[in-house]
Amino acid sequence: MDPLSAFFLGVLDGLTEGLLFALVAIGFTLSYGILRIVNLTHGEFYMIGAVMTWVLYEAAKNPLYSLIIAPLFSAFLAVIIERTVLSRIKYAPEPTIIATAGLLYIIQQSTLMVIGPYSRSVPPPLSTVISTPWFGYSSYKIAVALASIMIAATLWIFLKRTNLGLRMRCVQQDAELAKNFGINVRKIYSLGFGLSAALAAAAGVLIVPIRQAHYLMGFDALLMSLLAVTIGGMGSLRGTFLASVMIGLFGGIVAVFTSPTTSRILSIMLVVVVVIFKPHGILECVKK
Amino acid sequence: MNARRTIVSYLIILLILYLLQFVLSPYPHSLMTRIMVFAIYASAYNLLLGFLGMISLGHSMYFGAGLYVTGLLIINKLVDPFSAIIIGVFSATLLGVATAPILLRTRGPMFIILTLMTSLAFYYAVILFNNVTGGEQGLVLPLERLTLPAGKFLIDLTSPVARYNAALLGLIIAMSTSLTIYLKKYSTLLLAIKENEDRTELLGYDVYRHKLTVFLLSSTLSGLSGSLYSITARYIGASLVSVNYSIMPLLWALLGGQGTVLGPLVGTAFLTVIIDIASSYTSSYLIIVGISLIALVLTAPEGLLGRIKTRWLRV
Amino acid sequence: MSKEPLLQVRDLTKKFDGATVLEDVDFTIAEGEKIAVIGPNGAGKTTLANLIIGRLRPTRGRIIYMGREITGLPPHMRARLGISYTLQSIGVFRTLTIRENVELAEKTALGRNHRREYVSSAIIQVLEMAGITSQMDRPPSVLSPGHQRIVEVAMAAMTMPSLLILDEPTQGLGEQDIGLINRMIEALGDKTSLMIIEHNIEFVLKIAEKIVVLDRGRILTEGTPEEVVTNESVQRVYLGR
Repeated sequence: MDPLSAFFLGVLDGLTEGLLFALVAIGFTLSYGILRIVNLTHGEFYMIGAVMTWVLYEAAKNPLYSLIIAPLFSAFLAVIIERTVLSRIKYAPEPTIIATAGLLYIIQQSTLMVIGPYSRSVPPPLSTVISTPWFGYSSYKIAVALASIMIAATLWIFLKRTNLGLRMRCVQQDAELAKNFGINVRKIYSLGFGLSAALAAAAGVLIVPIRQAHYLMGFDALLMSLLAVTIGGMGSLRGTFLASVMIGLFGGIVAVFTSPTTSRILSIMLVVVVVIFKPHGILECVKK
Repeated sequence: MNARRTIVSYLIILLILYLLQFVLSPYPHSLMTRIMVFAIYASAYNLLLGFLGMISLGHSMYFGAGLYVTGLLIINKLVDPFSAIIIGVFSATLLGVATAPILLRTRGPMFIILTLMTSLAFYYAVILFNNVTGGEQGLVLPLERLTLPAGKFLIDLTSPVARYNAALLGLIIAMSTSLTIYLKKYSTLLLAIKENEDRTELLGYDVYRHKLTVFLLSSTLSGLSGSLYSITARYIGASLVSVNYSIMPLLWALLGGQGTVLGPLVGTAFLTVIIDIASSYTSSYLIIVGISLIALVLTAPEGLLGRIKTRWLRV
Repeated sequence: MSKEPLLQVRDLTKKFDGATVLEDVDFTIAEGEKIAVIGPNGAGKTTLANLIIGRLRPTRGRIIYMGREITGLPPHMRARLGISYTLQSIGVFRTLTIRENVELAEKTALGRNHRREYVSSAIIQVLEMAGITSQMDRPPSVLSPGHQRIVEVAMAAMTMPSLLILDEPTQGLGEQDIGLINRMIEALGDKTSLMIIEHNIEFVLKIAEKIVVLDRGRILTEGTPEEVVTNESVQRVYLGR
């Protein structure tokens, strides 16, 4: 393939990946925004989404249900975690990081015990190829990109237009104040955390036909989330989304000409460089 | 403060460790060697965690620097083992110097995230250059490289005796560092910084310089652990610089409790033995790491935060 | 004896995100002078102190200390030059013993002042009067908040400052403890300048030679205690509360 086509391919792949990981990343930033915690377990919800898709596919041959079931299951699991562990330690920053690191291992290793160390694949529901003058592009990947945008948009509308969304935003602004206004902050914490897990799981469901399900895949999602919030600003949904897309784009283009590993390294270094100059995220200079 | 009592207890423990090698059968003997090598790492990590309250999730980078530089120098016959160790440790220091300006300007969650990211970059770099480093599979250090003539004798670094005592020597260096910080009351200043950087600065202390000092000591000693690991285990591999090996020292230090000097050793010994036993039953033994972390977080009396933030006692 | 003031603040202005907290603040503190900065809440008093000790950077203006421009210096360097500050909240280290707290402060004095021995023992005497010296090896939590505040002021004093800035030191303190704070200040001698931010007018009138009144980020007026107390605008804005 000539370099120009390769470039376009990289752009498309990068966009798709960026949009998909944006779902994971905004889930991560949501739990930071609402609960003020850094949730290292977040990648594992993504992994659960992917693994459940495979399991449901093997069981029922229809993976579409997993788009509903997996996020619900993850949300449920997340709420249990929030109620039993996180609220016990009162969401204190350092213990939460340690606890979520512990949960990461528990979930990851449990999955290992259940499905084994092998990658599991699921065929894409759409196998048509969209032809362009340069190359054929998988219509499934395009569908994934569109789905990611739709899910993100739905979340946006939910937060901006619904009552529940409003309450979440209040808690995000100032939990103490929200409590004084009669908002049940405990409930919002649980819902918010569940929602963030559901987002990650949804992304996991979508990605299985493209990548495969593997018990270690959560690390990558966690890394991408961390990169996105570092540049986009912790707690900023818009910033995280944009940052994730940008990082995905960057990584996609780089990966075409080098390798996925190099692209990861360069993405990390890019973020570190940005942090040196803009410690609070890129959106800081975009004053509203 | 009973300095004399602290030093005496410390010396007694070292004596016990030294004598232990004569009574242990081969398997526990090599397990003990491994425990001591990791205890160096735990001690190094504890400098940041115990004295300054900083949680790093990226120390595998410094451990890895020592591990790979020493290991590769020996595998590629570039220098003798002793120089390889020194160069390996020094490269960990250099890496610390290079990363400190970025990392030390941040605090709390951002510090944790950045350390995690930078060590992941290191891990991926090891994977990327796997024709040199051996990647995930890793490389074995050849036996011949580790035996050297010294006058009329032959120093065999692969013998259990040599390995045990090399590890012990490294541990002495590491634990002495913590002990010195404590005995010289440097720990008082560090605890003040841990509690309230602002206030300490207002008293006239250059907080950054002190954080840098402890950070460099920590990365250097982590490198020492890595160097010694490559020699005592005769193996270098990417799994040793994965996130797991950034989380392990955190767990070792926390499990060891409040002891300044002894804590890391106790924690490392405890977890290493448990994982050793568990790994013979299941390949998902890392779940023990997860359970331990959760248990720690839930059962600490003042909460884990209290445990980290309160003062660290004597031996 | 140099005629030059110890501290000069010129056109000091601080804005946060569009809100102007301090504007064109101008005053001096002479060597050994004891001034008070008073004003309603939100007037910018603590911001002013934070600018002088370096926790904040000014939007505009200069700070000159001992004849040299310190506007760009970080806090620990200013502390080393002799500016000490106690925060509004109690700033003793809870995880250290009282003795360790005091020693930590003492160590930075490092031969800066030849009166060190004398001042140091005078400060310890005040601690003795408060009954604190019998508990030196316990954590500060065994002391009442008032006594903790006294330890904190003692720490600031131990650094042998040339300029001691106290932010609301008597807040919540009973009369006896306020008296001890007073003694602590006296222990420093006449060569130490003092800038005290306070709401407690009684205390201010006893200690200060000069009062600067801040209101909404600007200096309303400054002068001797008598002048300020009888000033009409001051009475309107502040004292008639």
